[in-house]
Amino acid sequence: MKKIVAVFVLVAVAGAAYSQDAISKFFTKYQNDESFTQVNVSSKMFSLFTNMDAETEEDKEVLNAISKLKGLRMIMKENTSDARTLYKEAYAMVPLKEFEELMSVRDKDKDLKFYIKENAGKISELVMIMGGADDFMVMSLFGEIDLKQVSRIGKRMNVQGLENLQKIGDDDKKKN
Amino acid sequence: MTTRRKTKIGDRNAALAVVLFSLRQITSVRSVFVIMLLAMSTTASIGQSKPFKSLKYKFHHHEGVFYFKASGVLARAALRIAGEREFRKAIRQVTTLNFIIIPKERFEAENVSVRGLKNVVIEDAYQPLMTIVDRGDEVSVYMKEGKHKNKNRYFLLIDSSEEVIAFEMRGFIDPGILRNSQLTVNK
Repeated sequence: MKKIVAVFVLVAVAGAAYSQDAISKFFTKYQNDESFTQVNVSSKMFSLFTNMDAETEEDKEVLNAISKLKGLRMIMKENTSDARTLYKEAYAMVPLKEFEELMSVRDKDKDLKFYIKENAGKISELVMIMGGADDFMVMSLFGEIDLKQVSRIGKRMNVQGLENLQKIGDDDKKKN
Repeated sequence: MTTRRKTKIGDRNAALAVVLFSLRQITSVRSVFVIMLLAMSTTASIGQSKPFKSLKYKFHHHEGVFYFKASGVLARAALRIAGEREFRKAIRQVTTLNFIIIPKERFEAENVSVRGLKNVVIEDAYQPLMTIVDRGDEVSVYMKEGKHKNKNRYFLLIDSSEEVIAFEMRGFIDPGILRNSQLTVNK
C-alpha cells in the first residue's frame, strides 16, 4: 500500500515539474540575480480596474479585457552587454509544443518575439521576448487574452513592446 | 519606489531622510514642512492591521526604528506642499497612514524574517497586488478589501539591504492613478 502511495506521489511530483514551462524555468533561473528587475502583478490587481468608470467605449473594452487577465510577470535587464545572449537563451527555452510564434519584429536595434499558448481556441498566455543592444526583457501575460486589446493594455500600463501587437489589427484591416 | 540610499540608519534624521525619499524625493525646504506636518499628526486616530501592529509592538522602542502615523488629510497637505499632485490625487480618499522603518539588523536580531512577515500579512486576509524586485530591493503591495471601498487597506512592504519599511494605508486608492504610475520600469 505504501509503495502505491509513493508511486502516486512520485508521479504527481514529476507531473508538477513537467508542467513548469520553459519560461518559468527562465524566471526561476534568474530570480536571485540582483542585476535583473522583476515585476509580478496578480489577478487581484487587474480586478481592481474593473471598478473604474469607463468614459468611452474603447475604455470599456480595455477594462473588460484587463478584468480577464490572471497575472503578469516580467524580468528585465538594462544596460547590459549580454542582452543578445539572454534574448537567444530565452527564446530557445520556449516550448514550441505548447507555444506558437505569433510574430517577430525588428524595431531599430531591438528584436521582439511574441508567442501565444492556446487552450480550447482561447489564448491563455502571451509571451514577449525583447532583446536590444543593451536591454533585455521577457514578459508573460496570462489569463483570457484578447489580442486586439493587448496593445491598448500595454499602452495604458506602460509595457514597452506590446504596441507592436497593434500591427496584427492593422494587417487584418488591410486584408479586409 | 526603490530604497537605494547611502544614509546610515541609526539616528532619527536618517530615518526622516528615508521617509522623504519614499515620498519621491521631496525638495529640501519643502521637506521641512512635510516632516513638521507628519510629526504633528500623531494624534490621529488610526486603526491598524494585525501585521502592522505586530511590527509596531515588536520594534517601536528599538533604537533606529522610525515610526509615524498620520491622517489622510495631513498626508495630503504634506504632499500638496511637496508638489506631489499625482500621488496626492491617488490618496484623495485615504483616511489614515502608518509608516515604520526598521533597520535590517534590528529585524534580524528579533528573529523576524520578511518571509514570515509576508505570511502574517496574507493570514490577515491581505491579497497580493504586485511585487517588484529591483537590484535586490523588493517592493510588495497588498490589499484587503473593506465592506465599503473607503475601508480598504493597503500594505506596502519594502525589503532593502539596509532596512525594512512597512507602509499601511486605509481608505481608497484610485487604481487609475496607480495604473499611470506603475510598470514604467522597462522604459
